[in-house]
Amino acid sequence: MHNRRIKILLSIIIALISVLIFRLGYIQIFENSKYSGISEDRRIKRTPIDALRGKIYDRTGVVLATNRHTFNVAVKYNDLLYYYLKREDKFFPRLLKLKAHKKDFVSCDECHAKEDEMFAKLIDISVSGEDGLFETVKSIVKRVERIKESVSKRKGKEIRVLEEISFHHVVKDIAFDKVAELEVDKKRFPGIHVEVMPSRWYPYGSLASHILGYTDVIRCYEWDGYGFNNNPFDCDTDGDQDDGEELVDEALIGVCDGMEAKKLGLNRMFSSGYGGYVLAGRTGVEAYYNLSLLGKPGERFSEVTVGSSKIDKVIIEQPSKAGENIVLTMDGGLQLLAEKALGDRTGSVVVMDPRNGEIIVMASNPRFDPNTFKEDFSEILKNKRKPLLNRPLQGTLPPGSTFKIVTAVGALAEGVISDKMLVKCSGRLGSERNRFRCSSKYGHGMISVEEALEHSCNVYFYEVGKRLGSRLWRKWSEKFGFGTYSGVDVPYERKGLLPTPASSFEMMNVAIGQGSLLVSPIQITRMMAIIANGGYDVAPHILRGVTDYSGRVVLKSNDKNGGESIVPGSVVDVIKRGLVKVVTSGTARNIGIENYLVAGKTGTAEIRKEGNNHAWFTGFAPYDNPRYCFTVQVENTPEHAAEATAPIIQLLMAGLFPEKRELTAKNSW
Amino acid sequence: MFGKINLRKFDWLMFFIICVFLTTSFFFVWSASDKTFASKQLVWIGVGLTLFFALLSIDYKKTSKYSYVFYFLALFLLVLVLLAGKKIHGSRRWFSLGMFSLQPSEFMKIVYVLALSKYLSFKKEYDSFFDLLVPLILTIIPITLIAKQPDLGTSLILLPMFFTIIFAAGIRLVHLFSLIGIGMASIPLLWFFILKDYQKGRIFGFLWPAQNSDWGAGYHRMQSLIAVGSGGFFGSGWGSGVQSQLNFIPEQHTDFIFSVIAEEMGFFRACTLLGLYMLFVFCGLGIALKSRDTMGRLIVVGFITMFSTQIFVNIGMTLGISPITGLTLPFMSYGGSSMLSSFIALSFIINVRLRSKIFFSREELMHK
Repeated sequence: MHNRRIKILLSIIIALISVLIFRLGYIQIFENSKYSGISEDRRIKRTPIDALRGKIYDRTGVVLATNRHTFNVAVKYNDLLYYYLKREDKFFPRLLKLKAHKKDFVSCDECHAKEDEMFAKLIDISVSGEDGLFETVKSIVKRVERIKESVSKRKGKEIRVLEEISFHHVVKDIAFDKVAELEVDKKRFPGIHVEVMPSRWYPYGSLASHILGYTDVIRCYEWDGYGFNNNPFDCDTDGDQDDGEELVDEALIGVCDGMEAKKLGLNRMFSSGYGGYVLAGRTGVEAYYNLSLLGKPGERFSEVTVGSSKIDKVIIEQPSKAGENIVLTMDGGLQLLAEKALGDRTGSVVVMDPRNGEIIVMASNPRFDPNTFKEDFSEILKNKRKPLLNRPLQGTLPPGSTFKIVTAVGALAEGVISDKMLVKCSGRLGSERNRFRCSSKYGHGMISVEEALEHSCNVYFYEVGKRLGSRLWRKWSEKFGFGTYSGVDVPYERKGLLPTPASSFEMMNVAIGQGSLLVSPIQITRMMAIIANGGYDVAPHILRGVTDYSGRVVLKSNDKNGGESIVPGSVVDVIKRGLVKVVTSGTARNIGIENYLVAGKTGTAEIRKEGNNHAWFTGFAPYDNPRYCFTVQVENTPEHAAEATAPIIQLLMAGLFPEKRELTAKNSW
Repeated sequence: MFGKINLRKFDWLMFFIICVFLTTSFFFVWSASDKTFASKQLVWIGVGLTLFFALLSIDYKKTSKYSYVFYFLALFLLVLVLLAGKKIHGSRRWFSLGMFSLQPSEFMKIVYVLALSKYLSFKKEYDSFFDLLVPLILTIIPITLIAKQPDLGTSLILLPMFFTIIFAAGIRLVHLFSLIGIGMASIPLLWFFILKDYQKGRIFGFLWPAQNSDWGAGYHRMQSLIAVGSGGFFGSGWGSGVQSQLNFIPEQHTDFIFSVIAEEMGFFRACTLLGLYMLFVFCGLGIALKSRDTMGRLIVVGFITMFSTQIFVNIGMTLGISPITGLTLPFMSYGGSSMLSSFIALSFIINVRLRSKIFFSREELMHK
């Protein structure tokens, strides 16, 4: 037995614990004076250093989103309360008591000459005038009192909340000369404090607002997801945000009593005085590439004296790291043109490079202005046309005849039909009554697949749909990416609805893009890209690259051509011939786009209400060597597809192919 | 079940020391957080004591028949927690079982000692270096799995346990030192391929506190030092430590509970606590010395090493002389898993004293 070894072990352990005892004695006895001073009246204060959020550029280098600073005037809560008590008659119970208690305090004008002067100045600065200012003050007082009430109720005694001793933003975003005015007069208005806040600025307003998205302050419970070192909030980050936490969170509350703060889980925030003002993207690219854009906030640790909050010395500083810039594949100029072309119509325009899936335009109307998003929010919500809907990705609608392309490709590739096969169209389908009608009342006669696409013949595709059957039809629809997310790098995409037709009745309906089928414009554009590029799959994306703050390229998105080949070349050729004919002599003839060598397909999705169609046009150009594929979609229009989308496509083509405009002008005379 | 054993052999001194720890724990968890945590801790202490006596009633030799089964079960749990565990502060260490969460790595420590001791107890000779192969594998698998969570602290605690157990088992010193040499040589590998950035940051923060830039670690260390340092001779009194009551110390009811104790109780009493820990180790290794059953003594050595490593690393961390890890202070820190695993380990130590044949000293024999 190895008793000696165990004894050695024992002595090692005892030696180690003795080291601890010596160390403890050293710190507590010899260095006591050094540390106890710190503990008594000095604290280490942690101040965050904001990181500059990255910019967003379009493919030509236009800045679409950048940062600026806004100057907000903040006033002490006490002064606000005074102003409120002076003007308002209706009170919360607590304030009523307070008013009775402080009757003299409020009514004595002489004692408050300073405050009155201050508020006169504020009214002068404020854009909204006296009443507007009072409304702001009222809402702040109400909010603080509500928080105070709820916290006091929870704790069972009255508590001073952090909100009561902090400054509140009364006038937001004041002009620079006003800032100068206030700063010069600082001594006269000790209660006023001008705070600089980082904010996001979108120079072109509502341009591409759905792609860019908007930003908002990071909330307490989100913090952990960002992988920073320190969550300034000490909250439960597992997502349990119940029982009024929201209210507490909303106010970024801290409680003056340390023990109380501990229960609320916000103690560290309280002790460091951190407001946690970091912007995070909520939708669009701002949200999708939030982590790249965000950078990493820095921190400064300084020693402060408790009473005066004066900084004695900076102990250590970790500088912030600026966020990375995002370069989009989108072309700002073309986007602007597309948005102009859409005008007031509700709808969307998508333009994509069929060779690599780069999204060049993704316009949606109506839009919102991300600069004033917060102010407009209630109005946006009220708008029946849903400006928040990013229609290219989220506006899922029945595709109408554009979906005949999928049916045709499926049937050709599976060998169900051949390009030479003819079907007789007599204007309606067989003996069944007038339910399955064709666009032409008298029928198209004996037609092939090319002509069926050209004239958008329903009867032909009823027949093809029946032959193809629901399983194969679904297989081909899935191959084209319907019923799934296209994977585009803008969040909150919808995948639409790809039904499995159970009856031949249903099958015939979905074969021509009617029925319960729902698709988004980006899915249709992807389908068109697959046809345009000769049959291989593409991944729609909007990120071109990422650069760091000095402009060095950090990441370049892969723009190699070619994915998995989906459609055989021979099939693509047949479809392409049909699509060319659509514009030269078919459903989209004479709409002024022939000279741009467009090939495409119209689609009119009829909905129950008469004279209320969803118009589609999807195509690519030039058809001999496709550089762009596009989808134009207009909701709720009485016109048919070609007429409804023509003005948009004309403008769009003129923008995409400026060199061909002259030719068009010449030919139209 | 208790029938055969002599209650006089029950180690009353050790039990008394544990009771002191538990009382301290209850009051300082209360001071460091609040009543709800303290009452939860009380529940854990109750559950722990029950478990302790329940395990005492079973012969450890019977329990250790299933050592390997337990070992593989724990491995399975570790894999499971990696796949399905609950994420807290960025690492997956916990299983959420409704009311409380379970930390499998705590139980891995226990079954690791049992399995390794069992394996080594069958060996009599250590002639070849390759005799160490199986123990090494037994060690490396759980270390890797726990480090993956990532929980470097708990995974590295297996290393001292490994070394002391094989040392006590009688491995040749040449082999031991060459093993340590190999281990040292593999540190660069560990640094470049396994350690996460924040873990490197903590090591930096420990080695060069003044100029490190990772404040996650340096900040904790500094606040803890301020707390301990301001305690002085007599402390600020229970519930009135400035640092601890204002929550400047992070995780103060779990990992940093000793800094609260040191601040509020002062040097004398904190020192007494350390002395008690020393006595505890002394008693424990005394049991190992007297035990005649190889497996029993290895188990005791393993568990005592586990306790002392935790004590040294945890208290050292609050005193700024060891890196900051998530290791808890046995019988002291708040937390169910830690409390239960400490009690299980303790029950094995006492069990060995109760049940293994004891070498009697001459005086004792004379007495008989």
